[in-house]
Amino acid sequence: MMWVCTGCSCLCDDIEIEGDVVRHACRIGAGLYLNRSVARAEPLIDGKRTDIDSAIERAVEILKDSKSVAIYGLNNSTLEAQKIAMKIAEKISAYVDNGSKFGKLAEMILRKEIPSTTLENVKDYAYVIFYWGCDVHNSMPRHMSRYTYYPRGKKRQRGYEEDRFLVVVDVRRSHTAMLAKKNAVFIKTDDDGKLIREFLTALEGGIASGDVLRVVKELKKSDFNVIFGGGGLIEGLGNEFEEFVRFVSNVGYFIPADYRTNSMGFFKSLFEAGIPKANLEDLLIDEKVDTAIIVGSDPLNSMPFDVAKRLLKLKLIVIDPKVSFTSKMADVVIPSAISGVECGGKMIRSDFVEVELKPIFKSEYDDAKILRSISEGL
Amino acid sequence: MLRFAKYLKKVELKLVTYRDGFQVSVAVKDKFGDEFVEKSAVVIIHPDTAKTFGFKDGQIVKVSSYERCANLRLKVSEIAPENGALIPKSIYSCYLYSDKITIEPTDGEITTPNELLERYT
Amino acid sequence: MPSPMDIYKLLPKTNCKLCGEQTCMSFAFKLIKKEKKLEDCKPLFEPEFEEQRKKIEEMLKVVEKATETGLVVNEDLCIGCGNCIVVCPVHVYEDPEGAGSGFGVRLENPILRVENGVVRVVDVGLCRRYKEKTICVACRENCPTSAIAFLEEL
Ligand code: SF4
Repeated sequence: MMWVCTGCSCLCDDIEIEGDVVRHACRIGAGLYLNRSVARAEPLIDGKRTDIDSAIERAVEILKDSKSVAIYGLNNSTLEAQKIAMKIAEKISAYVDNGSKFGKLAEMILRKEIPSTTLENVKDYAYVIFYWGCDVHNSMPRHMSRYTYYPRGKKRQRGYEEDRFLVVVDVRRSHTAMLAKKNAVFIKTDDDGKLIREFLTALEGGIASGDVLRVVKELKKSDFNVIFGGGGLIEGLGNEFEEFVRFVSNVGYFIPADYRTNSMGFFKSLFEAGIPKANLEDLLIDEKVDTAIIVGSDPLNSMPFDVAKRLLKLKLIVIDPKVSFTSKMADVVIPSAISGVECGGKMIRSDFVEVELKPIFKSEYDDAKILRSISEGL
Repeated sequence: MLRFAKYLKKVELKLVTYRDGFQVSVAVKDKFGDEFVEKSAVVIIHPDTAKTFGFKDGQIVKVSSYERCANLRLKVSEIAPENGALIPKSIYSCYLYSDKITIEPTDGEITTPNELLERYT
Repeated sequence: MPSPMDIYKLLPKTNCKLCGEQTCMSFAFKLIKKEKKLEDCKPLFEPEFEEQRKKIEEMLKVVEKATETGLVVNEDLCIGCGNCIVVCPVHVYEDPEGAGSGFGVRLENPILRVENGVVRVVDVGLCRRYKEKTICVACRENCPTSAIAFLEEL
């Protein structure tokens, strides 16, 4: 059976499943499928076992009693489920956040303010490939072999050693950086802004360091070059996107390397609903919310202690297929299906290409159904 | 026998976190299993740092930031920045979140996620 | 993975040549490359060397797992990225639409395939190191977590 992996935003669609053998998916993806029945969540109200419908009812009651709600997560939910979440947000004027810092860049891509392209085009045409502030070998293991540096494509028939040039930028020698060997360079930097300015200077014929000049020389050999930017880049940029956009326009294209499975779907749903992206961490610091619905996310495993502590003061409704640190502390837990494994729908890949999922199993309750019931209850 | 470890000074390092693929795959499986602790309760330092301060791959260290601390397993690898410490993103890195952390040898056991969770309430 | 030096240290170190090699060191090398068998070193089977022999046997267990081409895969270190599958020149040639284009390998019996998230050796018969005796290290070179190794480099 063919399967679309929902382990990360690569959404690899060439996976074969035969009983308990998963072929071609990486460790993360294969594990998602093979360990699907381990550590499953149960419906809980105040830590006590209940049935799903009662848990949903309790969630609705809590929402009705709250003054200000945040909806958080949704990166592992389908577009269909995300849209229902947006409706709930509109209905009760809730804040919405997926915990990703790629919002600004995603919006710029959707508004066509920054040139972007597809992974298929990268495979067929890209020469210089930047990985800036992202260790994709770990976060999206098949990114380079499936879509970018290693595969041969239409105009790139001679293989990575001749037909591609790899640039890895990071604060440390990551596993991805270790792959920068022949026809490649690893640039170590603690100051992304400074390095971008150096690139801009060099592109305009100015003085720069040896590595930067070498890359600029390579950039000029092709009119199809691409930059993959990760969390490290965004952190490094702060809120200064202007120079980066100028840099991308000079180089070619930008594609976010946000590993969160349907993060781009989230941003598109948000954009289409016309809802501004909130930041739950800020909301918690400013004490602006009293209730949070957490969908398929585990903020206790991703938010700094000081902030996470404040999260636990709220009424918490967790919708998740698995037991998580946050679900352990929640007021209501509603078990859901693993998107792509136990329920279908659509998701959006890191390059904004829509992908139809191919679930192997069926489940009665998935994010979409649970959110719809909540929405109807309100 | 003298325990040299006891005489080592604390080392202050910049904290860098990263998404570790092996850690992610066990977190997706079960956050309350032993594998999660094995892959998450880890702090990685650069071989040069290890040599300078006499740390050994595999030893348990006490990692502190502000008034918080947890015992993690120390690993030595070139993937760590030269002047920093690398921790896989998880409840451990979140709990210890700060710019700088200190590392010192300890005889203690590795901190479990449940012990961390208790400190959140 | 043992080095020839590790093994040499445990050998009788008399350079007696009974094994057909000039030195014990070169015997150690050939042991790892599987060109010689431990039994070829007669003195090692005397009672006085028993302990050392057992240690060498332990070490050689790892070597045993290596394929005919000297390729050793450590699944625990593999993240299943598939770099090795896609860069393998034989895969590219035999399966241009599959592995050569970045997809999961479509050959019935490829050299390597990612199964359950880790790389598995399926059939080394196609490997250039086996067929053409060329020194190709493409798969090992593109594995940053050292899940793939070659005996002669150890
Ligand atoms: S790279 Fe991502 S989508 Fe592809 S198999 Fe791995 S986890 Fe799944």
